[in-house]
Amino acid sequence: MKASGGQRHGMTLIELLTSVTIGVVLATISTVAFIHILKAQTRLLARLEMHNSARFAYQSMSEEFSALQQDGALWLETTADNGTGTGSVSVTFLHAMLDEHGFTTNSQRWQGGEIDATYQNRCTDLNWCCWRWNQQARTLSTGVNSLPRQFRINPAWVGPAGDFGSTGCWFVNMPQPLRQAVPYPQVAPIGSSQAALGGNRYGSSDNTNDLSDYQDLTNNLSPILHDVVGFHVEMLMSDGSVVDADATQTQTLGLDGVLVNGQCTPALNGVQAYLKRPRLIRVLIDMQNPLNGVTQSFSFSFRSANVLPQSYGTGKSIP
Amino acid sequence: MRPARSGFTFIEIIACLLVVAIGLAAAVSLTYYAILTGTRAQAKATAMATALTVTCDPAPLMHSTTAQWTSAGASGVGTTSGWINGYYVVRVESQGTSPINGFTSNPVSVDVYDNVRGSLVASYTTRLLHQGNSP
Repeated sequence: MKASGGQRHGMTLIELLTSVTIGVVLATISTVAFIHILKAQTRLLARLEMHNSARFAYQSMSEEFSALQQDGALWLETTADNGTGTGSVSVTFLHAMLDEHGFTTNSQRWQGGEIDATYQNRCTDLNWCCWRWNQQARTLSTGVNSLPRQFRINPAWVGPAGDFGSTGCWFVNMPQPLRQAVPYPQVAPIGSSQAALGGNRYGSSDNTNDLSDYQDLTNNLSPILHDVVGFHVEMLMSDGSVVDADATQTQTLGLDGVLVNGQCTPALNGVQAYLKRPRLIRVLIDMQNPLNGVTQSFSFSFRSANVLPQSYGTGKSIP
Repeated sequence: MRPARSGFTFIEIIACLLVVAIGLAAAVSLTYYAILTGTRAQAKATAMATALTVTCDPAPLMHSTTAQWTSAGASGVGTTSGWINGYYVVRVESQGTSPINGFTSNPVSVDVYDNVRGSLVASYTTRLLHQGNSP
């Protein structure tokens, strides 16, 4: 459109207002969309992080729980949250592991007559594993104790009964936690003399000089999951009963292991030990991102190795 | 003689805004696609772990107040569904054969979706050996 004199004029007021309105609407829509996308992305990143962490925890727990030995005691320890974030939940159990036992021959003591050297012997072994949630630190930690058996050549070794030796080659059993949580079932406040998890097969109580005992185990714990604001463990026992462990109460619960020879301990409190072994372990992990408050709960269940049918006592069979 | 100057016409402004709008829409779509990709990555992280969990346990541990889970019962036989670990999960266990007295071998299948009517992100099928009615 041309005005008189060959000049073009700009937009009319209506056109200008329409353009501005459309521009403002577009800008508003894009700003709102941007903010929403930013929030969604923040939430998604937080969730992705938590899912990846949870997957790692699942994988680790799966490996640990599937290697659970039914002939070792299993301990559940909880501390109640008094409102200031003092809660804790621990699961401690005996599990199988692949072990490298290094041993050194000297003066051709080894029966085969090998040259003096250090040899590595790969074998399956057992050690104690612990999972612990610390509410204050918001961490889920895990670890295993130092090798509970050490292979060495030392004819002068005088250890407690139970060590195995032949021609100067010894498996030294370190002071690992006891496999029997007697009396059964034991429910006692942490720190009381009844809580026997700190005891060990050396009878030397829990002290810093012992390798492979409970204190050694707790020293080896390392956080593998952060921002954990809740942790709950539930175990379904072979007899159908359920054992709970969360930060609502303070207790130490010890579950006897069945004996390594396939038999059960004598009935304690009228319950056979093999019936009080977990066959399904459930965990509930609550995570929260400290920056944006995004929360996510993860529930995982693990089947433990079955307790095989066995006999107990003399001439008796399991009903 | 000074040449005549003119501003943008209305059509030009509208065309310009249209181009901007298309650009914005493209940016939003790309971001949405990125989020979708992230969601799928998340699904790959824990979906199979969730499927394995529900396979062996028809009643996984949950918060009693917020749980959205319908259980088939203690035996696990039947259809169980609900939300767990951020996924919608459907578990179907059928009454199977009895290979030996006191035991049953039941087929179990678990499907994990990213939403109630969302896409399938993980699936697992196996047989579970039960002693009596225990899970």
